[in-house]
Amino acid sequence: MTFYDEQVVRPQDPETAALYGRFVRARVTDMRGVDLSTYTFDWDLTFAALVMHPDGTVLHRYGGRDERDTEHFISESSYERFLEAGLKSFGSYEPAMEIASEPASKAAAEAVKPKAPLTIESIPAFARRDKGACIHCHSAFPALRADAMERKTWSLADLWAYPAPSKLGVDLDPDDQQIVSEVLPGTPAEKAGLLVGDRLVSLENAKGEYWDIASASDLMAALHGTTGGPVIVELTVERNHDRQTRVAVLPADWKRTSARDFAWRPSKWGLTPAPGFGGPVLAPAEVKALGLAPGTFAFEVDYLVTWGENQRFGRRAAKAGIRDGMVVLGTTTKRDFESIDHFHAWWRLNVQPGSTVKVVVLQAGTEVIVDVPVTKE
Amino acid sequence: MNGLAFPLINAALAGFVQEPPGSEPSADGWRTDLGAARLEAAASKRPLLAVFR
Repeated sequence: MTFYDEQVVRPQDPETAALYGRFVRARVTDMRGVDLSTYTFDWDLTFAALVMHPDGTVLHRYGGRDERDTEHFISESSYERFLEAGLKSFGSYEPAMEIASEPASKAAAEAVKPKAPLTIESIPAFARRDKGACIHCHSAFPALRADAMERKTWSLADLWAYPAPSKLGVDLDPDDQQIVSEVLPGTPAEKAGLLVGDRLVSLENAKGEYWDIASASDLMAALHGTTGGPVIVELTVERNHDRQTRVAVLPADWKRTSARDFAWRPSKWGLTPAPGFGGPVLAPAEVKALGLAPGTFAFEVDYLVTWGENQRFGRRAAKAGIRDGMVVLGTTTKRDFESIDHFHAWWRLNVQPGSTVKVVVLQAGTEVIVDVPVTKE
Repeated sequence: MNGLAFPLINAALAGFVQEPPGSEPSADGWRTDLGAARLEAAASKRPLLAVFR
């Protein structure tokens, strides 16, 4: 990621470099030891930045993405705005609790003492197979999910993390991410009267939880923290130098995300049931050579899972007749996949354990159906 | 308000620092230990910029 190397780690832009002197900076490439209850962000991201008060409060986030490309919301100018917003918020930050002046009382010190950190390696479901290697950010969601499943506290709604701005009904200007660049028809944002050009300032939900918005990532964090539905949120916007409040109603199940939009998330790999097989999507020339219509989704199987926890799916698929080198066109109920990630996400979000999936494959120019049974356990 | 908060935060964080006391950031100005970075931020009354990759 060029942006990360040239604008984050060793900024080429002199303005960013100058801003850096006003921060203490930490760079994390291994999540071992990192407290998930403090360093909260969309752990599926390939890059995330937080501006924090030393007391652990996250003031602003940067690096969010949606179903579009990894770097849609990443740019030199928006990163600079994020840093500036961080400094501004830090300057006006007031801790939520009353703190006694020095010397600190023992009770007051105890009140701000951090709780034992929640680290990925401390989660039993992860610890059992921890080999001591580097832990990636995207290991957090699967570890927390496995833990919640063991505790019987997990629900499907937990999958819909850090909803994209489109769930509210807006798109944001990638370079100035407070600015609404599009209001989607029929959405909560349109019904609330948001307009293109509005500057999003803050979001407050029905529980009184409040977020300053300086980036797309901030908005996604605010939506992430807003639970339930239908639920009301108050959006403060600036329009023509006038500050106004708009009330949006997020409907029931508003966070639910399609397989297509969920497909980018690496945490999907931990979900089951899995197909147990996969491979590269065919290039347009290969599709044409097979006599398929342009744009047809097709991939060539180049692996069946015969290792790890998902081998039960791979072995069932192999037994059903899925083979290396086979061209897969989809299933009898869905063919319009946009990527292999989409295929995998769709299978995991839609296929019921114990069912049979009718996989459509191409053999000698003819479509053939392979019945793949899906294990229950 | 910030000024009053820092000594307490400093004290509360002290037990969570993983870097040896006095260890310095790398030549390009980045620390790799979040606890030490928070301590330095509290001591110098600056915000923390934490990046994850």
